[in-house]
Amino acid sequence: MAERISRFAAGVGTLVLLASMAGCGSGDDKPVPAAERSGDLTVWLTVDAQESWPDLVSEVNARFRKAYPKINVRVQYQQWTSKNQKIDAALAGQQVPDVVEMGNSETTNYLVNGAFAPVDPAKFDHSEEWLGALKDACRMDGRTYCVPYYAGARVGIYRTDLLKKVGVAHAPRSYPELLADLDKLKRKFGTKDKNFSAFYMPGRYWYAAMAFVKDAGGEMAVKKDGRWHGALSSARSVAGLTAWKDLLEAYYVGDRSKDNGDEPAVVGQGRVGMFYGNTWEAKAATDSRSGGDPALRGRFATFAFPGPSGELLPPFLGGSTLAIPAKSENQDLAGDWIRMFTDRTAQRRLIAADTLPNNTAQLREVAAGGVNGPAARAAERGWVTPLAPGWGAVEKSNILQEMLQDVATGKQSVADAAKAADHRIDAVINEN
Amino acid sequence: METADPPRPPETPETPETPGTPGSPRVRRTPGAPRRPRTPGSRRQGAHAPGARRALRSARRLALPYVLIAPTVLALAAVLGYPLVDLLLLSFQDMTRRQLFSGTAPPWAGLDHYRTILSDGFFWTVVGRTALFTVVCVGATMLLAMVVALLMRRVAPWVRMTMVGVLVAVWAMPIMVAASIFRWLSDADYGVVNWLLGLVPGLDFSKHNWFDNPWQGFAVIAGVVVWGAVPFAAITLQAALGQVPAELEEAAMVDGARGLQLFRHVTFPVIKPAVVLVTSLSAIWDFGVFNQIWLMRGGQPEKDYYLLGVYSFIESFAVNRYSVGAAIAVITVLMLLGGAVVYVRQIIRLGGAE
Repeated sequence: MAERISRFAAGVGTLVLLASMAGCGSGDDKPVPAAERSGDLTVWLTVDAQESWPDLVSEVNARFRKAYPKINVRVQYQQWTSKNQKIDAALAGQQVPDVVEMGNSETTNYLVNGAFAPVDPAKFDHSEEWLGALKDACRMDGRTYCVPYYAGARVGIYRTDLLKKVGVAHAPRSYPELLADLDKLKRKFGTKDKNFSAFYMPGRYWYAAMAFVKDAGGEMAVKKDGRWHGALSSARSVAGLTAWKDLLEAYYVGDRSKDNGDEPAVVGQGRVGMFYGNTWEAKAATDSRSGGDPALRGRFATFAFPGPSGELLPPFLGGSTLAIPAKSENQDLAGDWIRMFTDRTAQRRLIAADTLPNNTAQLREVAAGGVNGPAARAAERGWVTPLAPGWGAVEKSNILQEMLQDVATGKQSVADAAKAADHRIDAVINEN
Repeated sequence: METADPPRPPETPETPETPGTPGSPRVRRTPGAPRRPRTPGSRRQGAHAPGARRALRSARRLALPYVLIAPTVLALAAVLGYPLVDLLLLSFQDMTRRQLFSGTAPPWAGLDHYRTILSDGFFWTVVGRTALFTVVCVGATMLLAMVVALLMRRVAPWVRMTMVGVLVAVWAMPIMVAASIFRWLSDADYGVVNWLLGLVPGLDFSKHNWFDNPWQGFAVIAGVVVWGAVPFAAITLQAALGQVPAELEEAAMVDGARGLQLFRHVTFPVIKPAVVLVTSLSAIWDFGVFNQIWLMRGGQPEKDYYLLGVYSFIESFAVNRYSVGAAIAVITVLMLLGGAVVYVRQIIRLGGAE
């Protein structure tokens, strides 16, 4: 009893202290009017913004300059593959960027380790309707540490011309229909051409395989009594993995130890009937810069991918968030820049660039008939990777990829591979 | 030039064990003119200089070598010493991202990490794998390099120049490029290796993935490593072979030595120092190999492909166990030091032989 009271008192004490500190913080800033503030604001975005919506960035910067004429916004673009190493190095020093873009499967480890400053969701547009997949990745202990930016969901993409040639006029609407279409494609094109895959599904494509796990009601990892455990060897997860393996076994003829990294280039070779990917990959497959073939332009269409369960296959809701490093000296300015960069007008621009918005309210604005319509439909069933402190380590030490590769190549049975993967996941998932 | 006299096997500087060549004129000429070490200030000073000035001068002379080497030592201390010390400290701490981001000092962990690593069976698997990989790569490198170097002595000058050009081109190729090319060559779906092997009647290598089986995968990786290492070794050995006096070999041939016998007893003893040097250097490089594996496995090496360098990197930067990764790196450095002893001893011996 006494212990309870003292713990309560300590909690209240901490809150009071935090509140008073927060008060001090804003009190200090007030004397300097916005127009008088000067200095640099460094923003780290990933190359997606540079490639797909550079106008939005410059417009927001122009708006920001009107509010703070003497602040110089410096936007620096980062590659996804090297971004976190750079962020780690920067956060370990004193010269930190003021805004950083974080993938929603990357944030938890940084939140746990106190890398980011808390933000007040009320300041941001549509924060009540933020997509769960992004919002959850930003929350810890009831506070919010980053702001949802945009999302993407994988869909089915098929060659309209090939499907027409086997007498099918529309995209598959159920899993049996999908399999029937793939059978037709395989019979018509696969018998002549040994390198024709009716369905492209490389063995290390874990976002796809995990979608089947989720569809079967399985999980990658679950939290029990405060600790995370791998759950791939549960009966439901194994059922999902088996369905994935069956699909790959029947319709994919390529290298099974590959991941989907060069998917657009391979699809661009013209020997793939259907694949599971991001909507932009259909475009990339017809772009010679990414290894695609311009002759295939206009021959791809997207569809909401049906799952074996009878529902839509739940896609991984990959997405980005924007966070303010705790060491930043311009946290209020950074917050204001993020507010402008993620408001409703900005989100509308993202929708126009074939991206999903950060909130469910605007998800309805995505044209159902457009290339991203199926993604918007599937997004409601979207999932995220486990919000465990060590999940980043699970991804980066390739545990899922190796398990899938062993399954796909037949080196191990689904159950054995899943058990081994769970074992490896358990070893790192609870580590900060 | 010091090379006026033929370099002899350093172990026996006094008695040349050139088998049965008493008539070699070259050998007879050598005993002359031993270089005498000059004592500092002995000739030019003369007896007129006062004692104090002479002492100062000799002190200066004594200090000169240290002054000259100081920049090198300082630079090495800055770029190698400091990180090494930091690495050592890190391996005795328990550094997590919390400390990294907040800048607070990490707690001390003593020997905990070393105990964990050394009692982990997987670590010893990786050590054994690394050692085997090193032995195979160094062996193949030295064998190939020796064959190439011997061949270069026999061919016409223009062929030799072409060979040197090709070797230097291979040498100059960045690892990044070489690894990508080898990766494409051995690609399962589109690789030219599978296509070529498929042309051989009775072989079906279509869609054969070289990396499914780690033995085959390591064979490809060893191929890149050896391919990149041969030029340096071959050119060095060729230079060493150039030091073997033609008369020595001719005389041995007159005495009836042929082929392997000639190489083993006459040529090899002369180039042995160079062989030992190149071997130990190659061993050090191959033991710490990282780039080739990392690039060939697309930045996502499977557990079967971990060598010490990759293992340390994964522990440090994928799993974020910075201290465990540091401890693995320290152990690797210690193992390498064991190998470096051979190298250093050889340098000292070479110095002593001169």
